[in-house]
Amino acid sequence: MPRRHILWRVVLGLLIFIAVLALQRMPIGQYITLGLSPLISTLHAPARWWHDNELWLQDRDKLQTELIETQNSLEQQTALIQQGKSLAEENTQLRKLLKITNIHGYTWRAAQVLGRSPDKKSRRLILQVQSKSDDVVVSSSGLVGLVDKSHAGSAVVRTILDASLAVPVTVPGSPLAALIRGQGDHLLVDFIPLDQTPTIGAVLQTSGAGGVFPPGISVARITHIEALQGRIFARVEATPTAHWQRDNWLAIASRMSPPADSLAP
Amino acid sequence: MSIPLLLFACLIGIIFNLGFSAVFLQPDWSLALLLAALLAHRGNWLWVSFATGAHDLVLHWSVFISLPWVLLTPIIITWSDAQIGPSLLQRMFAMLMVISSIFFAGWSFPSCILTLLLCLIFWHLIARFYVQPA
Repeated sequence: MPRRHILWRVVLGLLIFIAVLALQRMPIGQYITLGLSPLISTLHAPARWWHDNELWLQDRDKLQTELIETQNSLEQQTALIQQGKSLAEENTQLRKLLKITNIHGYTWRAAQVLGRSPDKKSRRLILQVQSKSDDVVVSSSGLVGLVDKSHAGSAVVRTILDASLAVPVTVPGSPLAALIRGQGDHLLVDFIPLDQTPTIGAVLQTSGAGGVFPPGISVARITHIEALQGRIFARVEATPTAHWQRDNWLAIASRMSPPADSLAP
Repeated sequence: MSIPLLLFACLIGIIFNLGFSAVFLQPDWSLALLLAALLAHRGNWLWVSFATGAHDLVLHWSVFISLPWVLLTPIIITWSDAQIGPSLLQRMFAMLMVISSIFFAGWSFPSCILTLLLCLIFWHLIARFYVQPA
């Protein structure tokens, strides 16, 4: 083979290698996944149609009873919402009087799960919701992860099992300040001093440090504690309290932009 | 064999994997198809590599899952064909090597077995397109 051809192949190989490395650095996968979300939604359409058409096959009396129950529930909820609104207004006025900023500062919405990554390690999600990067995703049983990228009513979620995510946590009522990192199929809890190790089965909650995650959300349950010789921190393993593999709906918490008067010195 | 049709089937497979992974046990449809195309004819390595890269990026957000092994496959097959003569042995080995990569990426063992079986079927079907009359 002529030397020129060998050189050309080596250059081509190097170019491919550089392109692969560049692809690894950029969030291309997230954008392709977002682009595929309309197709995934289309593929779900027959299941949705079946679910909608099931109503035709159900008993009329049963449906009427369900309708009356729903109407009653709606009336009760409307009354509760009114009460909540008046309380919220009162709360805002009190906070203004006392010059306290809203410590929660998050708006909550429901989001439908459109797809999931098939591996058992990172368990990433695709949600059908209008959101922005770093919105917090929560299930009924605990923290799920953060929105990584979002576009046109779809969002891809990086879960707490992902190694790139670290969550500041604490044990309620204790001064403990630890950090949870994803390890694929389990979680690792860093910076727990040997004399402050919680018991196995204790639930760790978000501490709110860093301002990304709202405080007080359950994150993980401790499964294994090991004291390593010569180290001041224990090796602590945990599992997520949230099980999002089967949930069809999750909640999204978006941080509200602080009001203009709270930003003023 | 129509390459665009095969790539379209891979896309549908990826969408199935993303959309229904929590509903029922499934193989890695696209990897089975791509690997079968590569094993049936190693000259397909270029487009199979690009498609495997896309597969890795979509399902794993990383190109270092199956792509390195898919890139190694034609090299191993060419080298071993020259050393011990063309046979199924080295192709089987390459198939196991590539499929084990998704096992280490977190796919369940039954999914990997399904992928392996599906790959064998696709390999048999695609190889018929490359059979030359005697």
